[in-house]
Amino acid sequence: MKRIIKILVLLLSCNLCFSQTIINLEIIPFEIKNQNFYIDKIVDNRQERYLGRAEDSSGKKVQLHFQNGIEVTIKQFMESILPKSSNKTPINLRVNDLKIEQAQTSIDKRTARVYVELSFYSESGDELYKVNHYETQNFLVSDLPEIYKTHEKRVRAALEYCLWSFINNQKVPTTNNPIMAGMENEASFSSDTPTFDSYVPLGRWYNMLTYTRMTDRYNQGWRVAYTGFSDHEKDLIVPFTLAYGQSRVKSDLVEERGYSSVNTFALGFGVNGYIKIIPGLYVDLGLNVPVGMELLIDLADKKSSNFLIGISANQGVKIIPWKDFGIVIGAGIFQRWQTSKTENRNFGFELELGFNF
Amino acid sequence: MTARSNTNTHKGETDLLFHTWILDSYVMAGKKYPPGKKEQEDYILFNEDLTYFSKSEGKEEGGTYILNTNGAYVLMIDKKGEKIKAYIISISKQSLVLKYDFDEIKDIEMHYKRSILIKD
Repeated sequence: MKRIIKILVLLLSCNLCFSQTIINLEIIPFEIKNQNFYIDKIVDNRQERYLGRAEDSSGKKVQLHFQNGIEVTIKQFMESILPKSSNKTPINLRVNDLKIEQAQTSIDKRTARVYVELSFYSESGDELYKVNHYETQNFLVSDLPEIYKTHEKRVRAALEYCLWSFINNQKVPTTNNPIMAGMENEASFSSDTPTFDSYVPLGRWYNMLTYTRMTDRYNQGWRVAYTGFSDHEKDLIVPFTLAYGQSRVKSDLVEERGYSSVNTFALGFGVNGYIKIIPGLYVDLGLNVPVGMELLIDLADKKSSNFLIGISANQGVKIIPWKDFGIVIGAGIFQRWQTSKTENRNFGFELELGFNF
Repeated sequence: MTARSNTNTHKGETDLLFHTWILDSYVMAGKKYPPGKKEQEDYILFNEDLTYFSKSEGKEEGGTYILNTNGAYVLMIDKKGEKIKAYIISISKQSLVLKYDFDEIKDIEMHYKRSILIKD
């Protein structure tokens, strides 16, 4: 038994080793000239010590780290842009957050992103400026190798953005920023700190395959569906859905209404979406306008047609307890009114079961 | 920054940006297209003081910009605070190729020629 535990621990350790990947920032020959400050000390103030989890070029999930740690890496980067000099003001930098993220964000698109939050401090410890920034790039779903290859470039771009933001905010004289040309040569730091939104995680993509049973006043049926959606907390989540289903009339409703046959052709226009309540729990809402035609044959074999227009609404809940793989449970109700000769007012409910991956 | 594969913009080469660039053509899926009727006089002027002026489909705009050398892009912020991100695909003394970060046109290269008529 002990041997098995040892082997398991060894396997787990190896797995952890292999799942860590080092990234290095490329240092390019670029310098912001005529600045009267340089970045002296870097303090790592992050809650999480790794840069993020990303899929490598083969699709394997890896944990990302800087080879020399965040302080040394950012220090080297800053030194190349703002070389240290005795006649310049030292500024300290606190790294509050630095995350590398990637996720599928639509049916055909992946988003890769770096989030950085920095505080600039004077030598005496006064906070001069605080900035956060998302460096975002969109790719095709198949562009995994390119996304992986360019993470370090987005880190550099995000750091440079923050530096420019600090420079522009402090209005330090520079040939590239002569807004304050002619002003005093010392850095004139203001305490004006811009407000910024707190970090919002990049929504992950859910794939779901579900089977739904539906029943209403007149019909019962089923539906199988693929649904994909990007999980986020802002606005309405609009899912991508492909579905196939069938329904049957429960009773002799058509004959009761004086017809031997009814064929309905309709297109639906409207909005369907999810509102995230808590992670894994969504309210499913929809409002649709069906427009089409009913072709009717009455009991005397006389054909007629009827223009169909209506409005339908649905409300439900969807529960996805496990993010990576697991079951999906859903339930909902709907109401419909339409200019139908056979069922102009209807309501029903549905139960959904499936899995996400 | 002169080669398409090299997306790093280096100091010295970035000075090349500070000019007026006239829209010359679009390149989409390897095919070159001339600007439309409304776009005949479209241009972007990048000033060294990090302000810009542009004309797009006859509409003139202006604001400030950040040249992000590591990200190889120009982030233009207009007077309403709206941001327009354009990746620098290549730049030389005579030409500038940008790709705008909008879903609708993200696969279109915008080719600009350096103006010889407008004083920069």
